[in-house]
Amino acid sequence: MAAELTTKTKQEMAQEQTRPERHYRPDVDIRENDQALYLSVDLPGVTADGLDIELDDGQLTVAGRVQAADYEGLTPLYTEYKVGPWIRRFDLPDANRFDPEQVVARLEHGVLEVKLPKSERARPRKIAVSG
Amino acid sequence: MTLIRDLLQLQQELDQMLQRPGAFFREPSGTGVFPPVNVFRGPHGLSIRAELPGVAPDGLSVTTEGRQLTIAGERPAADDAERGGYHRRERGWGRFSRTLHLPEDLDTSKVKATLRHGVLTLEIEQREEAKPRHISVAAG
Repeated sequence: MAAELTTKTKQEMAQEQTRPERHYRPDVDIRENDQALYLSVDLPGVTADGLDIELDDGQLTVAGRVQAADYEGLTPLYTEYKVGPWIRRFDLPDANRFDPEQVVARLEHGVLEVKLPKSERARPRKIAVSG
Repeated sequence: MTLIRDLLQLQQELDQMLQRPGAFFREPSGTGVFPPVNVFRGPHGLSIRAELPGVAPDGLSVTTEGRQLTIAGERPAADDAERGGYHRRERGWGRFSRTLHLPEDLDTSKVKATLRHGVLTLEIEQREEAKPRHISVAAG
């Protein structure tokens, strides 16, 4: 028997954001092989120009804005799900394996696919020495 | 009821309204009914939204029969083994089918369906005779 999709209530992000709207935590699949780390993120309602992806100091952040303009001229009558911007962060283990320049991202049908290729060598790090 | 002006206002209005599935459409209320829908009144009738990320237009069917409107389809599981194993698997996959019983003032032969950025929008016009009519008053 084929699997059936069921509904999940959206999880609100507890960490405060600077903007007042409630932010929600998108569902993510994470896979890994020898070449890369792959993320698939459900971001319905988000367009490419509303999407921010950052890889900074080992932390990957995906943020997607939704447009109030999509609801222009409409009055809510009945609701079953909440609407709001998406945000999710991950700490990447061995972050020096990933080069931000090589990250590839594609948004289609409301799903973001991110590929983080593993670089061959770790980045050299400068260590300051005092004394 | 005010028109939507910004996202925060939209959120506040939706929060006030959040209701159990089926209450508007008089379906039996099962748990986990998919997809959840939001219903809005627009200038010409109803606008129904549903989030269906990962569903392509050819994986979706919208059909009407009398007063019933059915949204059905499938979100496929990834079948590319070469991406390796999963560290996390939160996104569901599988079939879905939901039937909504539409209010009587709607013309179910006039449904416009659009799937964009993972959001399905259904616009259903009111029947002509149900639309508000301006009646001119003759002096007499």
